[in-house]
Amino acid sequence: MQTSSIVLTAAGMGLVTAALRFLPFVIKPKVSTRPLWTIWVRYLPVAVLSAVVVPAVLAAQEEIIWGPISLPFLASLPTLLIGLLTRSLIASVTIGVTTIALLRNLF
Amino acid sequence: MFAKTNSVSPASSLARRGTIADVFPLVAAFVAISFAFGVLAREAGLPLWVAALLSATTYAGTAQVVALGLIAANQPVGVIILVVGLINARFLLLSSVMAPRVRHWPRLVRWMFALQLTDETFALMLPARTRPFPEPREAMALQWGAYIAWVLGTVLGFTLGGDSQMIHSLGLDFALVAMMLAVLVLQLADSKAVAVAAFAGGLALVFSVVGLSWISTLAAAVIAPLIGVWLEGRCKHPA
Repeated sequence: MQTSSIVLTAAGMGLVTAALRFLPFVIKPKVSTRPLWTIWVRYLPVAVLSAVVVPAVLAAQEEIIWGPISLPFLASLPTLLIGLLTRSLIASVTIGVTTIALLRNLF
Repeated sequence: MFAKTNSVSPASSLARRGTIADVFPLVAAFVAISFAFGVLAREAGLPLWVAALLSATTYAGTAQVVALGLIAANQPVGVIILVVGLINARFLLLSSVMAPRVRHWPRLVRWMFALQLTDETFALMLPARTRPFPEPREAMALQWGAYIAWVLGTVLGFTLGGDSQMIHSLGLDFALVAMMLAVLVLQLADSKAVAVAAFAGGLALVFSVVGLSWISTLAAAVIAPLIGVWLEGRCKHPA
């Protein structure tokens, strides 16, 4: 692809994404005070996180070592354990990255 | 020591810690991931300034990586922008949730807040069993930290990064997954939250297995919280 087209693409992507982030802040949706909406909102963060993380750990087809077991899945176990025990995000990130780096260099 | 930390419930420990404590881990994870993006962007033949521009304006990992693939595959400009719009449509949801909570903030702070919203900062500011919503200063520290880390990491990855093989063997691409895993388990405060997470994860898994992973977050974000709504309705009016 030509550089001019790439620049056009990047500009378009930025504008579209900015609009999506920005619109609800300028046009105020009326739903925001309904009780069902507030319950739905309360579960939204957990749903978003899980939707990003679960496929990354369980659908890593290119890194399967046996059956459904993949390297990201193996690395997620100490990550979760450290997260639960220490409740520290930085400890979890460090353990997760170290584990997967070790596993990838072993397998 | 373990007994002591175990006696603290997830929600209260999260509440006590506040948002500022999350800035550093988020910055570290964002640098790692955007570093990887910078390496990929160079391999895809983008000029440095365009890679930095993408990170500074689109500022969304999945969309940026998908766009690199589509650029490399010589897809039409309109198609790429449309796909990016669909992937990022979830920001309409996240912003709709955030907008009423920050209505009283100064306009400029609010607008920057809107443009810097990500899945990760959203999840850190709005836990399932809420700790107090961050003050403008805390929210700005979190969002600006993440944003600067993202742009800076892109430039670093582009200029001094090795190849994608090196990123892979250092495990940098796993940093964000690891952080989000930890945030997720800390937010699973009750069985209803666990049910929502399981449903969202299952749904996203199905979407990625059938090749629709680019829209899996949006689909799961819309549908899975309905399980929570349904479960709470059932608790209130037992059959």
